[in-house]
Amino acid sequence: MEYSELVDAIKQNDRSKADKLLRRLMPRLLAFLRIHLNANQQDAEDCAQQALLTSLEAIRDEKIRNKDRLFSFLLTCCKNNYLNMMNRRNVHIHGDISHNNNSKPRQLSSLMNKERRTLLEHCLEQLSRGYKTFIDYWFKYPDSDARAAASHFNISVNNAWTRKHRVINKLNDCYKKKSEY
Amino acid sequence: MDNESRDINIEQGIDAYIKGDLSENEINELWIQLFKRPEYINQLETEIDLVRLYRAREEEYENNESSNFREQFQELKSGKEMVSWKWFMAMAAIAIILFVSIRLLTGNHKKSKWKQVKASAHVTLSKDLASAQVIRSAETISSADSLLNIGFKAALGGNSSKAMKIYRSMLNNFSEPQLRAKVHFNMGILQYKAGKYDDCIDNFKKAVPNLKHVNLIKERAYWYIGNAYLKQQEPVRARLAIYRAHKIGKIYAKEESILLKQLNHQLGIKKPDN
Repeated sequence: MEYSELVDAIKQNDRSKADKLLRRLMPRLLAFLRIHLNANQQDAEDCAQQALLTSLEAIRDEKIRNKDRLFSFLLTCCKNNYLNMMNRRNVHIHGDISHNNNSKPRQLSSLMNKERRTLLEHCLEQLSRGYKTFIDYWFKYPDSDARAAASHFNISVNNAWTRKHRVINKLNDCYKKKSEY
Repeated sequence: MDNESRDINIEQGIDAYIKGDLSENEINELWIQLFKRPEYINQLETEIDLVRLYRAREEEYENNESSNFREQFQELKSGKEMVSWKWFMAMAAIAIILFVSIRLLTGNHKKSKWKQVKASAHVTLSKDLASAQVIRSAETISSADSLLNIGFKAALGGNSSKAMKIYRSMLNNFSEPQLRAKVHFNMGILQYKAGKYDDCIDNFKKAVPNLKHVNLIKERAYWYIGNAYLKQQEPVRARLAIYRAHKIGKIYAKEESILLKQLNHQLGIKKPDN
């Protein structure tokens, strides 16, 4: 997204263009809310929508002056909106998000949907034997790191990252294709 | 995404994020990068799914194993596999006679090693206790590290009660998870040495979740949990802990492998762990 384009649209009061540009950010905000806060789709949509409206005002008031600041502002808004929403419902979120060090994606704690699991298992089966062994090692020993994987497979650490990247890309592509059916 | 457009920092950030190694600020920074490179959000989601899949598989495997033990024990208890009680008694009598005769003939009076698997851990405080990390370039040492070292010195000097006192005060005053894990681990080691197996299991279990990247200590913790359970004659729990230690397998791989074989035999598990 071109930040200057967005600022121009807002300053020229071109609401529809500004909305359109901000909407492109919607899927990213939804992903943040789902993955980091484990929000459900409906809550994520409400919080993201509210965050976009707030950021529109902030750009207009020149409180936000660059792209990085906009992204940071949106993250904070999404987080606060979601926490307020949960507070209103008296839902306790495990671990204090705002002060929690070393937090993992909260989506990790939820159960995996059966359909996604079947798809992923199918995609893993499609991998070549070498890739499968590699990714098996990486995820079976989650406390291990790239150096351990590199030494186990007798490759360089950079190669270990590259191999992992390739496998994840292959799984992504397979996932995408299969989900389209 | 081809190789040229890759961003290794984001990839490493995703890995650290999934493992819970990022602070809240680092997480925000990562998400800003992900917002700039949304194609990496798909990668993050796939990795999260992979972690969940492997965890689910592991849980299923462990549950299956536990239920297999239960079934086998139940079968033995209810006597499904026995033709009849009389037959069983007759066969047992023959077996005893044969066993005694062979022993008398061969003069082999050694105790069977399969009878009851025994704990094989021996605490060496200087090797086992976790101490502060030594960084050559560091000019000062934090108060927590300093206390950890004082505790270490006290334990090595035979003053376990002083070491325990120091460790308890550290738990009251420090919140850093990895440091607390080391303290719990050290308390566990001292309690194991003193034969306080319930307490040591409790402390090792408190240490394990926060030893994400300290595999050597984590393996030791599982190893001692397993051995403490063996001391308490709880082979099923012991086996699970030794199995977890063996999955790390960096310090006691050989000993773990031997114990696992013995426990598998004792528990009647046919499928060995790899």
